[in-house]
Amino acid sequence: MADPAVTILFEGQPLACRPGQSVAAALWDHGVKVLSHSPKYGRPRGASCARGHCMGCLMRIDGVPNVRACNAPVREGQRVERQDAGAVYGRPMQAALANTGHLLPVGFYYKWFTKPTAVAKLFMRAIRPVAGIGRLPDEAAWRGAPPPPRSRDLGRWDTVVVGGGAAGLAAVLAGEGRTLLIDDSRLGGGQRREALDLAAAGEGDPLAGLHRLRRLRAVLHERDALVAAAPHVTRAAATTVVGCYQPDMLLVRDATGLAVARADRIVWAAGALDQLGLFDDHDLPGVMGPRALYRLAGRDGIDLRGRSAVVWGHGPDQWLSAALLHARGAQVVLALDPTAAPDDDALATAGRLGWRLLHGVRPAAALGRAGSLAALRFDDGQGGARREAACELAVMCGRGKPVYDGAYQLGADLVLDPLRGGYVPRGAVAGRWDGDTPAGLRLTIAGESAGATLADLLQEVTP
Amino acid sequence: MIPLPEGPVPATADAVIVGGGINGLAIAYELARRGMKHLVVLERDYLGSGSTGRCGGGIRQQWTTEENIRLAQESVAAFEHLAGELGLQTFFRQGGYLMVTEDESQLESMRKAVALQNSCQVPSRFLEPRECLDIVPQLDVSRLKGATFCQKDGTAYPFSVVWGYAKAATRRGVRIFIRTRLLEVKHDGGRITGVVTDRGEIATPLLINCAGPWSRSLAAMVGVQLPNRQERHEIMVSESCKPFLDPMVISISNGIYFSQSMRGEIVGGIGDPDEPHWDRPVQFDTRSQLRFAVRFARALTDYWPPARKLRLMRQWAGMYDVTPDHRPILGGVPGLEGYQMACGYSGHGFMLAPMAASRLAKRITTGEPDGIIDSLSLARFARGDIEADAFVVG
Amino acid sequence: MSKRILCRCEDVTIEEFGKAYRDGFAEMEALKRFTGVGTGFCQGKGCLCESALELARLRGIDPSQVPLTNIRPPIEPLTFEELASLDLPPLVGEMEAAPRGDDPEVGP
Repeated sequence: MADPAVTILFEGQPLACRPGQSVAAALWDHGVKVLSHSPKYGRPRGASCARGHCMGCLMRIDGVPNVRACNAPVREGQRVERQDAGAVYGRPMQAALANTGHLLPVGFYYKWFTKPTAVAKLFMRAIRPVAGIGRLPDEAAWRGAPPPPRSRDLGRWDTVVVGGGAAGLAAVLAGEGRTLLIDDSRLGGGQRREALDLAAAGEGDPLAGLHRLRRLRAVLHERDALVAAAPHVTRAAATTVVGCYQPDMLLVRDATGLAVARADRIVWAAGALDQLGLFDDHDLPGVMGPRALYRLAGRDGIDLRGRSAVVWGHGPDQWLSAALLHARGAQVVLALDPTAAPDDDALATAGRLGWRLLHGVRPAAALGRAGSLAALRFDDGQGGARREAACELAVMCGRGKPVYDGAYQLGADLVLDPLRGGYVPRGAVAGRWDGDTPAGLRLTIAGESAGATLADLLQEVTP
Repeated sequence: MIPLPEGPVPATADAVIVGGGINGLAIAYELARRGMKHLVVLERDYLGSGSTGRCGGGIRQQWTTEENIRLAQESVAAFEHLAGELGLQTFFRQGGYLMVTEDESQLESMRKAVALQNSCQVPSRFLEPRECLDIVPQLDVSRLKGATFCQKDGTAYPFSVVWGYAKAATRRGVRIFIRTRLLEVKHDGGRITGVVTDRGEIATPLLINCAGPWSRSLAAMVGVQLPNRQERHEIMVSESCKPFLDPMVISISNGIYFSQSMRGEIVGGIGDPDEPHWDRPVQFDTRSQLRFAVRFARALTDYWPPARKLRLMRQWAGMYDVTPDHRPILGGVPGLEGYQMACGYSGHGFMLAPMAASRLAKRITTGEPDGIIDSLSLARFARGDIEADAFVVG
Repeated sequence: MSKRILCRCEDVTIEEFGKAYRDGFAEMEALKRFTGVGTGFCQGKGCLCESALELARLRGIDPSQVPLTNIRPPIEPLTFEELASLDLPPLVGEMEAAPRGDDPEVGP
């Protein structure tokens, strides 16, 4: 580990951090896992998706409210504070609300105190301060602050491929014409490439016996090298699509700001999101999915030495998560879902590396201590055969949820299919959909975004 | 109780109301409250899906024609008690409307408007630019020339109002059919006889056109030509923050408006002179445009610079149903019995609906003349009896 | 107290979602507006599929029968200063060829 070189101020207290880390990761390394409290019930929350999607890590950074600490790099002298959105009438009031919440109306459906009019007005006045998360930005954050750099126009392309994983790279190599590859990971090969590299570099080479993951790693490297050498391809790394506008416009963001690209053909291969499952208190800090782990243990390099981690689920992401955790020095407990297919390679690796195994279990509850995860409770899915595993990190490797928002915004017709993890293009075959949108764009949806799993992709790349 | 798109429509009804937005539902509720039975509301999509659910929820009394002022005044009074009447919070909050201008030439008409509003007992007042800072701290007043403010104006949550009316109407026996399309209107010898929907036919002597941007094509089905045209307008919400902004801020010089909702979000939009207008529903294009987000962001950060560091969460577009004088078309047409309409609200249907619905329902059930309804009939265009309101923004 | 959270941004539990359903909000469009699912900071990334599946279960229908609610741009929250830094894009799509309004002056 490099020497600490950056000092941030967390609620007035100086903390030494490694440059390049996110604020959320730096706080994790200093034992701070509770980054926010939920607005209504004041539930502790932390970095959960680690890719700027959820609201677990919204913090006030340098006087700006609601900054996602998982995506904010640490900077010298940075002021980081937790926002206490819901506790307008005090934490005890919020705790009381959490305990009696079942008596209250849901969301915005308030049937109480509607009359007389004076009472309704008082009620509106009383509930208004509860709304909202952050307070307004500090004046110093906006008055006289330099404007962001002028946005760039990336121009029109024959093809834009969104996503640099196995499916995206394959699409780039199969395509023709001037092609722009937009990839939100730093290294080519998508979010798993860095995880695979780190796992392979771990003590005892945790990947040594996991042949299909080794093969995936080789394929990602090979395709990435081919893409890098292809003269017709421009690669935008660490770049995220932040909005799509019909018929053919992509709004993207990288470290320098926003840019716009348009294309005759778009390939949406943006992968999938973690799906943690809806068990009790799954929102406790410390519960996350494999993709969050790849970010936090990969790009952010959080300190996992000696930490206890439960990796629940099935499929290759479970084995990759376990291998990565092992490589980073964590104590691994593997909890296999009843549907997990027996995988001799993987079981042999677990035996070789000394991972504890729990067979045929489903998550029932996350158990907390001091606001973050202390153990995971399992049962057999019917409430029987309860077991607990102590852990401060739980990686839930269920079915990934296809990333559908950009495809939808470009005009794809999606349908909810739980067997394929969520919203997938209607009529997708074998993890792929091709066609024209109503607005006339040639659109391809591929890989996990079209409902494929990593296991499907491995099947494809395994000789 | 639950308006789910299941089952056929009834074979007969005393009235069919087309449009499940605030106008259709408020009229259904008001008719039921006055004792009408067997009422059916048809909605092509979900409740509030047309214009109501896409609007900014503003309610103001600062207009430049006496009729609009009077209508809005009655509506504000209605909104004050609406939650109690409907049994559901509407999130109506009287944070005021601050109407600003950068254009010196508008000051004269603004002062005149305030005088007219005051003569109608609307407590508006004229403000010098610096005085705006007492109402909206950190507003950039450097380019402003003047403003008017009325504390009694405010905002409400459109979906609560829609569902409040829907539930109150349902309790009084109104049947609401969502995801139901009107295919044809049957009329014979100058009288309405029924409608055909994709869930079956309904024989009815009374059809009430509350179809918002679709009202022109619905009217055409019975041979009534409306002068309305449909304009696309876009709107956005920001992330939610703790309360910081009390009033709705509107610029009558560049068309931006923004307020803070009861959820803490900034809700706002801006008109665009380059937006197209349409007269056939098939052309409506409510897909979001990046152009809108950029124009709004520029105007918002110019007017209120702290917004530089806040974030836009989502944007959407809706249609305005616009008449030549920017005032609604209410009531029937001569020579066609059983046809009534409440449309052409020109972007302020949400704020006028409660009052207009109540008056129109009374007009329909009692047959008594109503000064305001009758002055807003379609016939005014043929008479050339129109006076446009100058304070129209968005 | 232990809770099974469906939507983290708005703190909506599975039980509360069911309660709103039984209160008459039987469609995703209505459930979204009244429980807040899909309208918080994540804009539905964490809860839209989950909520739609729960609605399918409550109604006893196949998940494919639950219509998708509109997923409006952008995908990630964007600061107003970032957006203001963009060159003004044209109206795109069919709007490029649509007739122009000659009077934009109407509004709330």
